[in-house]
Amino acid sequence: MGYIQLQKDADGIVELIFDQPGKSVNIMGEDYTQAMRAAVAQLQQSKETITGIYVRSGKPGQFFAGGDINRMLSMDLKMDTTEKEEMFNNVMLAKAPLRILETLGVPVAVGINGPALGGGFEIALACHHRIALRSTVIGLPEAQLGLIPGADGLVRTTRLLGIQKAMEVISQGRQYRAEKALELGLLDAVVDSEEDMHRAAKRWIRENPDATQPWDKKGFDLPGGSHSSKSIQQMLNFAPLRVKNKTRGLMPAQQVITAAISDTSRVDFASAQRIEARYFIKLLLDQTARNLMRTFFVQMNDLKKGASRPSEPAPSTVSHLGILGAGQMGAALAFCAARQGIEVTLLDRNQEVATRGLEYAKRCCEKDKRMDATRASELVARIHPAADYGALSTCDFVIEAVFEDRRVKAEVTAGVEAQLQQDTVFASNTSALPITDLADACNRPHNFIGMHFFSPAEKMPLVEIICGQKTSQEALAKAFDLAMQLQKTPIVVQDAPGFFTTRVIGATILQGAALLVEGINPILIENAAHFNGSPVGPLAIVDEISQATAYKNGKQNRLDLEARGETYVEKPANIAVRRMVEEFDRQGKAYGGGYYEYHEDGSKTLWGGLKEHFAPQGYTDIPFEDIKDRLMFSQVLEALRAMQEGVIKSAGDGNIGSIMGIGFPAHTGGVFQFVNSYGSRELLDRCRYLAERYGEEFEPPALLEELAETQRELV
Amino acid sequence: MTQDVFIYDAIRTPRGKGKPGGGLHEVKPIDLVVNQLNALRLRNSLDTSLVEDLILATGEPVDEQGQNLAKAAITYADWSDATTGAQLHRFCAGGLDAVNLAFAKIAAGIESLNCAGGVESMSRLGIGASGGAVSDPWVAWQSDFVPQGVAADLIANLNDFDREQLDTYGVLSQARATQAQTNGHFRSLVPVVDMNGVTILNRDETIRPQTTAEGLADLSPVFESYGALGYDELIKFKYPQIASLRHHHTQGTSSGIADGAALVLLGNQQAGKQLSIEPRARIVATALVGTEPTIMLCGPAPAARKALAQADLNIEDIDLFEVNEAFASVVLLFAKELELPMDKINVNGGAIAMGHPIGATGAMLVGSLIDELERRQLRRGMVTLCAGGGIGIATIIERV
Repeated sequence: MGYIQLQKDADGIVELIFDQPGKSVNIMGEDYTQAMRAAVAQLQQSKETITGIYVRSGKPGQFFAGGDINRMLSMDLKMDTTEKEEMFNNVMLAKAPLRILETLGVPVAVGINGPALGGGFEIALACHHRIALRSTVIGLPEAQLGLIPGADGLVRTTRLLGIQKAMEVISQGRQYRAEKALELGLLDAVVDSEEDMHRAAKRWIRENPDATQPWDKKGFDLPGGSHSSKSIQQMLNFAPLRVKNKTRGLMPAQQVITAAISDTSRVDFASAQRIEARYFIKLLLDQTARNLMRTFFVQMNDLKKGASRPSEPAPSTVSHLGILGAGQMGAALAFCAARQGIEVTLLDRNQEVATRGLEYAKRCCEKDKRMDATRASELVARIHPAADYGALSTCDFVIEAVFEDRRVKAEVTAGVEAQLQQDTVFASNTSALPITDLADACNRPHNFIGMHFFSPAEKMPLVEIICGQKTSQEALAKAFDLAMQLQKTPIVVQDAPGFFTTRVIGATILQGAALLVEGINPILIENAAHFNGSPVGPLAIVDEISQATAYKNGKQNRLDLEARGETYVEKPANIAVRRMVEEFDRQGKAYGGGYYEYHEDGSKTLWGGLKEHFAPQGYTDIPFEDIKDRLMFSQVLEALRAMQEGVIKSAGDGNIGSIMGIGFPAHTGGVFQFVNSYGSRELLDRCRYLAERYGEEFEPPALLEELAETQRELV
Repeated sequence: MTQDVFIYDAIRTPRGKGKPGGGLHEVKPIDLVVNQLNALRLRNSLDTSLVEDLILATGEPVDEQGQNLAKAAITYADWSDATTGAQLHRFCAGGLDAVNLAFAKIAAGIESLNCAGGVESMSRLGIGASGGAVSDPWVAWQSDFVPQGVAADLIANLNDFDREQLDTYGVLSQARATQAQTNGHFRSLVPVVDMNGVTILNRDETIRPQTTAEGLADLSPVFESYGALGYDELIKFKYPQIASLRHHHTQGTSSGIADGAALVLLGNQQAGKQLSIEPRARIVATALVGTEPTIMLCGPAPAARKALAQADLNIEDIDLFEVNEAFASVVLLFAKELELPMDKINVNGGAIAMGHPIGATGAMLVGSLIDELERRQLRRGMVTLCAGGGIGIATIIERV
């Protein structure tokens, strides 16, 4: 059986059915191109006997998944011009049958019985009439992987929706529910059953024998105006500016989308097809797309399939979740769980405090525009405030989210454990406190695990699961399952100071302080982070955490070290924080100001005193590229050290954790993919340069040397 | 072998306010040019068949200012059919570049007598009428172009020129222009007349004699709103030392929008003899430089240095400078970089007071400079302008 079957009915309508052999979903690869070319050639030959064409999928509930990402990932980025030319020709070959189909002279309808994403929806766009099941989703998500549609999806969307709307649809790369797609004009009809869909498609074909695409009709005008319109000109003037500022110039696909839509809408269809192909190839051979495809497609799929979860026991679900501590984190977790239909007992030191946690859930409901009052009250009703540990006895999973203090955590751990069933997992939500030590407070340390949620938990997708020395595989599996049940993205790490994410973000914060103490212009420090693609500069982060907290933690560290008989050495970061607190009384944003001054209108500016106190003789001048690299590399090297020490095993977990947890720039594909894309040898050389000038923290770890030596990639 | 090239005449129209209601708004661009062509012919009893080329610059070569305005004007003004013409675009440097190009062709021995200059009717065409390649999204991404006013503010920020310094310069420009106008220093100015010979405008229209520092201090920064569109962010890609750009330039410290035209008649010695006209000056050296395109307005100092090197002269050898007052910070930067006293620069005011008809200004400054060198009996002068995209241009002339 081939990829495509052609079946003609009594009315002369040919059904063109996609059913890729050996796959559960249809994918647009080499075999698609061949099959489609053959099928269309056959249709061309028998054109006279055909009244119309109905395109559909032969796979139940699956229409067409899109391009072959794995094949794209396997392509060599460094192609010579001859290879690029061949690639261009292949892209044009893949486009050709769809263009023949839409200009064959017979009506073409498509029935979308399941997700039609990327290439799948591009096929649909080449049909004159698009019908979809109400339950399905469609979209052009290429931008999220650093690409653009490459089978004329960009050309057709622009001609279908106009320049401005096409830009929104393609640059956002969203999946639309069928209803929404209908509203946008991407679909023509939405139906409730496959039978209705087939019937409607064929009826439309019978009733529209002269159907053509709007853009193939004489006198076609681009909806919403062309380049001659002032408002379009203005939009095209400002769109690239906005995109460049927003992406800091780091997301080529976003920039290409604006350009390709503009360029293709200035010319005829055939020229537009070629322009789209040229931009498509430019992106396909761009490192950023490579990074995004690997991390957000391959590694994210692996993660969701449970690559870091033990294969035993079988997946479980939590029906009753206990949460200790009704503060912001506890309350947010209660909301997340209740949103997924889980019964929650939300416990705090007294009923009043516990009940206050409900307010948070209510506010979250109000902020969610899609939530109606009935669903909101049902959700809130699933959260049961309590003040007695006994209320947790029926829970099948408990998360502790009390104050980040070892003694407080130990106290509640011991108190609660006595009330729990033998196999109830007890998770501590902490960003840095060692899990193995916390587990000392309980009798069943195998049930004890760390779950580091990020604030605000109702929005932040990442959960860092931390295994203590004695944590069992069952506990890990259950914690992983709960994270998935909460619609979070779980990564798995081993217990060590700072785990993975806190340790990695800590490295760049320290580096920011080191730069400041060296007398570097703080504007350059913050802008270096900005242009690296980081959401916040290292100085601004400290202001958020507060210098006061950092100062206190530093003191505690010193005591811990000295208690272990080690000598304390004051690092630049400690110097910066100590001076800010002791000398200048600038203890952080919450205290009225830190490295920044905070103004009434909500804006902030760097504190003028930084120059006077940290660079009294004038700023130290080092290359801006060095500042940028110090802020990035400090994180990358810390991640490599963590991997070397066995704290993190999966590069995918590290990549996803770094991006979704601590804002490591997404275009890099994450902290480990950064090594692959920079090149381990080049990174090694650059680290040695930085180490020589700026300190031992840039000495390459053994793992990097090994990677450079063997040219192994971290995947 | 290069030949000496002389300036036989340099004239300009008055500068009209470049808005509807301005004194030259009713005049078509081609009529501004024809007014100048007629005047040049009359002043020099010019046998136009000897003029080989007319090079005309404009900043918006489109619509009624479009195509080859120069050749159209030659025919329309009934100059000799033998004279050819070309349009030239080098942004604000165009008017001077036309002169330099005409100079180069004569110096090279290709031609003997040329006419060069520029025209701009900003009141009729506005700014941006001709579109441009840089507004294409793909081009824009790679180019980081910002509006010139934002770039001028960036110069001020990077050089610590504060609002007061800029305003002080703005007042100076107005005072100098007022004095020059009152005392009739603009001898190259030729009134614009209508088809009946009736005068339409005979003086620079936008000079504000009453300007005071206090008055300027009240004006709001013009380019803050442009910056807020995203350009303030964009400049940080190249200037990350900027935390947030402070906008200092106002209408009082930026060049005005204006209408006008100017022409320069250049030739070798023999051409002058043939026409029995005396040279007013000689072109000593010319220079063009490209500079960083985002800040874009820093070209004058390097262009000046390049021209000086070519002429084998020192900065002290130049008696007067005409530095186009695109923005106050451009002039202050020039003075700072070349360590020049203000009493050698723009002694009769400039575009802040009188306006900047883009394509015409460069040629206008040549006339103004010769007028003043003659009046003061000085020898050498330099004209320099910054221009879009990071262009600097300079020309050194000396009286003969």
